[in-house]
Amino acid sequence: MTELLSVQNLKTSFMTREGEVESVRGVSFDIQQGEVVGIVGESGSGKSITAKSLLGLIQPPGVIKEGKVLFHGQDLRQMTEPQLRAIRGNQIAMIFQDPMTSLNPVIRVGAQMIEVLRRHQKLDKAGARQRAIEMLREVGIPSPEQRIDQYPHEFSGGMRQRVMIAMALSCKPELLIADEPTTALDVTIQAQILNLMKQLRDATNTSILLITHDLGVVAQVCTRVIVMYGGMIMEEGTVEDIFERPSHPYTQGLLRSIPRVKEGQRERLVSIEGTPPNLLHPPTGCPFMERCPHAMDKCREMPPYFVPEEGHRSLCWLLSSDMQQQKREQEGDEQ
Amino acid sequence: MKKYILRRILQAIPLLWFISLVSFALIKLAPGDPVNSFVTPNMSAEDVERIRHSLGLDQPVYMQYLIWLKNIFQGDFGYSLTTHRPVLTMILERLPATIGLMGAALLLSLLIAIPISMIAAAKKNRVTDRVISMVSYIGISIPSFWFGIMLIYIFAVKLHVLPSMGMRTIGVDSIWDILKHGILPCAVLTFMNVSMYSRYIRSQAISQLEEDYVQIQYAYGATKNRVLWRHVLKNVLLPIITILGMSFADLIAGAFITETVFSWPGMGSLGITSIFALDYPVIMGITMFSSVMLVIGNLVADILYGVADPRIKTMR
Amino acid sequence: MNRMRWRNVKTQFKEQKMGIVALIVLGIFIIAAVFAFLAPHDPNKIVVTERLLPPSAAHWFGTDDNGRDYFARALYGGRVSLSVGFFAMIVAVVVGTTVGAVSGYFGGAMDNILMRFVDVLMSIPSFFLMLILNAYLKPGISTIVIIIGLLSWMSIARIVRAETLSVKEREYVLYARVSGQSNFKIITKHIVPSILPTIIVSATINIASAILMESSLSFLGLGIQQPNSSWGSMLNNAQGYIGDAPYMALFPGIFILVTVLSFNFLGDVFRVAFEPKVNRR
Repeated sequence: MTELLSVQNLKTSFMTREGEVESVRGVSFDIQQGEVVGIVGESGSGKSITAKSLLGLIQPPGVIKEGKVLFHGQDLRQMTEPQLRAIRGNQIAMIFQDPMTSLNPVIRVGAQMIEVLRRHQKLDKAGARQRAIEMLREVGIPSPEQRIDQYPHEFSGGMRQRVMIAMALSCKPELLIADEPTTALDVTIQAQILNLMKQLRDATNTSILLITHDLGVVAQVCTRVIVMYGGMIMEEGTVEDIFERPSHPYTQGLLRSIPRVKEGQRERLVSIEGTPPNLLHPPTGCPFMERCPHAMDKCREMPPYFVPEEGHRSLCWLLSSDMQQQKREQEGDEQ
Repeated sequence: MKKYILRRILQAIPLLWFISLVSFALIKLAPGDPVNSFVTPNMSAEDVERIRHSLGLDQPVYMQYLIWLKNIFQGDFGYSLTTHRPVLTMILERLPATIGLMGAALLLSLLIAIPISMIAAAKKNRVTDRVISMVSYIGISIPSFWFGIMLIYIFAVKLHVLPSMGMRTIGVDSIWDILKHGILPCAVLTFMNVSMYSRYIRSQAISQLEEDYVQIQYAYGATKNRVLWRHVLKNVLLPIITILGMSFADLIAGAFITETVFSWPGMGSLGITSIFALDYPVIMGITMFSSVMLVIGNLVADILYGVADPRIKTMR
Repeated sequence: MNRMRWRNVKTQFKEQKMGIVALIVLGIFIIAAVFAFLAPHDPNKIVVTERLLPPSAAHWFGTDDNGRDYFARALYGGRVSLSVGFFAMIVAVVVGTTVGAVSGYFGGAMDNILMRFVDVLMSIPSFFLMLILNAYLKPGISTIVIIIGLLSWMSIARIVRAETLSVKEREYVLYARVSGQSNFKIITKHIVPSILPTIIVSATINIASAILMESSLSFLGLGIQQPNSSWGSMLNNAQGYIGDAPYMALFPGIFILVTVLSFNFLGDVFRVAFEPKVNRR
């Protein structure tokens, strides 16, 4: 596997009347070719802003303050607008949360797809139309020859998200950024769309960056997980690392809050107490401190990333060697 | 779609009926006895009664209304009290001037308002936007007649470049001459309309620019101009049709005042003269005509909206 | 009306410098109208020897075609223009709020009938009707106030109805209904106070359009009649002297423009302050 995307110390802020809201506060991660990476977090954790920052889609009053977004080793942030436009929708495509509003309501679905195809691929009108029909068929839309000339409102929510996926994959992108692609859909439709994404990934080897607040979705499709909170990455690891050996109290809290059906009985939902930090004046220490059950004096200081095992990192003082030592001693005492 | 159009047309019928009631009331409630205008001093009381009878004025009010309605349907709007000519002929003579002025102003307004307000929306809160906003604030606040007078002062009185009144120079018969006379009144109406429309279009465009599909378009490599002039414009054009229908009443009122200021020989200036002369049949005729124009304007706007909006069009 | 909304108004005024300017301008105009009697000249005194004098130290705005002091006339004219605008607005707001609140609160057939009626009234050219009514009725300030008021309440009724529909589902209104308060009391004590911000916005914009309408009517000679005068009626004969005495047209027109502009600004400042959604637009 080779490195497709490398994000380094990304910082994005919104300049509001009250002051600077630091939505993304130094985020770094990599995506390998063919990998499906999930970013999980509550709303306001900065996950969607991170996704939009990658392609420079932040609108004023938002500003990307610093960081590098290396795509095939080239920094997207150094590129000119025309260079970026050539990549958007072509090598990197994006789908958004609400398929009901993602398509222009007064333009035929086909025309919207053809517009993108003709922009990036050297296709004539007929060729682009042919390709659009093929794509619609591929994402499982019945009788695409007729559907292509319909308007978005003539499609159901799930069908529209399929159209979005078809449009996203039409130029054979190397990276697909999916921002909460299933949140607005019914549970059964959610499963269908996730399956479709998995199939297409297997068929095309497209890398996927999946943004979601739903750990269940992550477990189904991702190979690696990034947990975000307060504009920072709290923990990162493989799906096994995160689900079986979560090392950050926030991740542990998140996992506890997933509803599970156990022996025919629904387990009580445990949610994390408190509210996310105010990013207008973000805390200088660990952002999760206020809500953390293990908070201690040391947490007023920003922890570094600790690496409990290879490919697994965590932003928490509990993993410092001192604390690990203490923990072992306590366990020893108990025995 | 056909059903939609049919329903809209049916909805207009009670409206037209109400308009006929108002118009009839205008005649009935008019101060003074309408017979008086036919009476000469040497007529006897029987003569007066005979005239009253021949005019149908001795019948009960509802019968008078029905007869009046029947006449209207036959195109008989009565005779002017001052010129004694048929009201319909008088109005039809004046109608082209009014429709020409209003139509030209409407077309120009849209041609100006749409691009400038799209630009203002794209440059929200920047200098261009603020200037356009300020000018349109003035446009909705300026008394149209005063603006007309000021234009006359500048272009006719001081600069002598444009005529200040009428539609033709006596003895000259050319399109160019009519156009020259039309510039100032058209400018007044256009300025008012552009101001009204642009405030509306701008806010529509701004809210469209916040829609998800705009974000998506950027994410798929569309340029700012492409998004603005294809995707946003298409969505903004629809509500413009509605605002056009709604602004029709203001447009007619504006035309009446503007015609008077510039002595433009249209229906509006005829209306004002007939009000001063208390020429009730003409007043009634103009009320009916302008109301029906308004109803038809709204109707056309609604139908156009239905034709243009795929969400309504595909509803069968 | 809660305190937060008023705080919004204050911040909005701080942000929108034009709002403050508008308030100051209107304040000056109102004071000038109230103290018009302090003017150095009698607005109705005809001095045949002083016709059409340009502005000077003695006559700040010059004199009109009858040799009357134009400055004094402008002060008294402002008095008429502003009060017609204000009282016509009161009429429109009272009728509009009543119809809108009743329509929205009771719903059903009542709502249907009232709203259809509003539709019908909105689809006749009301300005021409105003002209006709003014010609038919005994002209006078109160006639004009009533005619303008009675033909311009429809948009207020629509807005109030829409607001009432949403307010009537709120807990305190439901509670008041359950606890057996009379409909009249619920509307006046609960619904109207909670939609007051919307009413204030509409009222402000309505004054602006009422002043414009009055000036148009008077300009056409069908509004304010001699010996009274408003800014609009002053313009009535100014057009005839546009070559000799352009200032006669200039001053009243600018006053109308500035007044209407100020009310429109004020209305927008209120709107933005009361409806956080349209913020920054």
